[in-house]
Amino acid sequence: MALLLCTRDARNPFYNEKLDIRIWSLQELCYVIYNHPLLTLHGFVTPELADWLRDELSMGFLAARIRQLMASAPGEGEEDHTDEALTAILRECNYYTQGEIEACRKRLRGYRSCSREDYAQALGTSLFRLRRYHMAYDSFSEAEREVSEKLGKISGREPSAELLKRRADILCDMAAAKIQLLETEEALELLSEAEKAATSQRGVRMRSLLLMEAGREKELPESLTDEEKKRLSEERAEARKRALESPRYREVKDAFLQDPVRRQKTCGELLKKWKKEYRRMS
Amino acid sequence: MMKAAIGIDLCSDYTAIHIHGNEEAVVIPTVICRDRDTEHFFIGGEAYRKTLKGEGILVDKLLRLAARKGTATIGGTCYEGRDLLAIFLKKAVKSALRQQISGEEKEEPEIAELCLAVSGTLEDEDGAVLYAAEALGVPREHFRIIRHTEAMMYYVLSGEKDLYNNDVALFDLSEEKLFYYEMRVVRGMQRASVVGEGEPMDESFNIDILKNEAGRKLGDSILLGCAERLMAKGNYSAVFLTGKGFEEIDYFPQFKEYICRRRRVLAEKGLFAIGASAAAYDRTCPETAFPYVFICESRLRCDISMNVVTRNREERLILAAAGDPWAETRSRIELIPYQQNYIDLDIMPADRLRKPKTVRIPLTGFPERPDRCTRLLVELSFPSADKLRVGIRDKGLGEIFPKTDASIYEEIDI
Repeated sequence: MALLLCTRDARNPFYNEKLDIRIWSLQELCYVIYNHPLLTLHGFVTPELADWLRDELSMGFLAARIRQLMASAPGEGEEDHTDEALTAILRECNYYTQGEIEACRKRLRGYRSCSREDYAQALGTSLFRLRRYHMAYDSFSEAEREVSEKLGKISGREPSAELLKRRADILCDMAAAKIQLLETEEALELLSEAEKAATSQRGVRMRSLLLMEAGREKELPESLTDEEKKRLSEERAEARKRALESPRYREVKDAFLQDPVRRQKTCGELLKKWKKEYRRMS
Repeated sequence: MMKAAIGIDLCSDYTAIHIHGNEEAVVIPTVICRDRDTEHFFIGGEAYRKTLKGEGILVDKLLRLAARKGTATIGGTCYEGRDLLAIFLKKAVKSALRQQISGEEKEEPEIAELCLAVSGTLEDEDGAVLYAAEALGVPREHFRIIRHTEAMMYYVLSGEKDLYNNDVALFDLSEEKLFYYEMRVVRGMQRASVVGEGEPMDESFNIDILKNEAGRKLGDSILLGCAERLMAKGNYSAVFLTGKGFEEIDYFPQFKEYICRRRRVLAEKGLFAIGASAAAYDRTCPETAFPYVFICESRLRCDISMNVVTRNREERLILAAAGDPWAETRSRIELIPYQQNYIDLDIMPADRLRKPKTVRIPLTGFPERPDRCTRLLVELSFPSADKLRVGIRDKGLGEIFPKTDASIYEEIDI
């Protein structure tokens, strides 16, 4: 239990395209590195970051250390130097404990040594959590390409059930991104493909919910039992109830309870906000 | 160009101005007179003369008029009390500075630092004095307002050390009121403190009664009664006397005999102005000549601090220190709570007679977020010497967790 004393904010923020946020303080920078390490592994530790630390946060020593790391082994061992630079930033700010910093370092190492499809899928998941659905879809697509390539290389042998299941899982992730982008038909196609690839409970569930939501119960898989249909209906009802209690729904509802003049203004603001969010997603 | 550090004692009946380095203070009545026919103003003794000749209209008790936001109509023109006080002060300071010029100097000195001492008994006295001081054209960071108690402390500490070996007493007998002040240096802590207190006496008299023998006897017995009551238990190394009423100390033989017993007694006209000029001059020096923690009505009586973590180490962060002028003290920091939803403020009195205490402020009403994702802006200010105002505002965590309107404001007795 403690109160962490903050350093001063920057006058001008640091902007990263992948994250699409402006970072104003050292604490925010540490939060991003710790919670979204995959997004900081490539193209994050740059001369611009070092300059920002020096000019905006008056952290000349840290900036010099980062530049030194970047310059010491160009092209070779770049990953080690990025990891060291990220760890140095975490250490400089008393935002995370030594134990947490060490755990982060191990996570970074882990991501470096994992397979390309694992990396791409994990990156896609990170982007999905940040609501960057289009970028998440691209990352999941890359993962799917890697797995398909591996499946393609297996000739004359029964494809590994694990690989097939893996592909189905990635296809489900791609479908989830498409759903968020409101591209429902593409999502349904991806889920059909996932079902064909492997018996995927997750895929069946997602496709069934989507069809129920679209009022297309006739297209539900025949293998779905009545009990399962009932469970899915209950799940939908529960999700609908949560949606009606959510702040975003209340925001719209409250807007319509206002007098016409204020309602128009509030709705205009909401539309602007949604447009901005949609642009961010795509 | 020469620069001067000036101390001013601004009272309703008189104003004393002392330029640091001079022997004595210049004392003039706080009155202003405007010529009947023109916009020409006169102050002090000249104002009285003009009025007696019938050439002008006098306005007195300027400080009281300004503090009460009153007005005075002179020759058909209505003047705000504050404006009249500002005109008075400007002329009084100019006159005092002109007296500094000697020999071949042609330009009057510039004001480097200004300190105004007031009694603090009038409502919105500070506001009126601030307005008048600003009219002098001195930048805000180069002038300050202090109370008579603090001015006395500077005056005594500027003198011989023997005078403040033990307690020091001061009697101020002005035209209408008797004030009593005390001061003592407290050693034996990290930094020596000087504790000063002052109050108006209930037993008081108008100095007009001193014009006859009966009045002088009454005055003497009142002063003796006060001295016996106030000084019975203390051990005093010096007693100071100031104010118009003490211009003739021989009017009070019994009082004089009592206060002179085994202690030094000094009379000083314009004592508060001289103390204020010492305070003003000290600000121009790179190192203070008064390495004490001042404890009096215009200064904080305790340290306000909190435990924070910086560079992975827990440290005590002093937000406001005992001896800081409370009216000017503001503190502003940003913190992130880690595994706690409250803020603790530690209040440590300087005099060690009161117990230290910790005030816990829960962060009620702040949005639920993951740990360490709420940045708080904590602001401290002091509406009086005994009260601390704390404001805590939610700043979220940049664009990751946008800020909300959540805030807490509390006033705490210190």
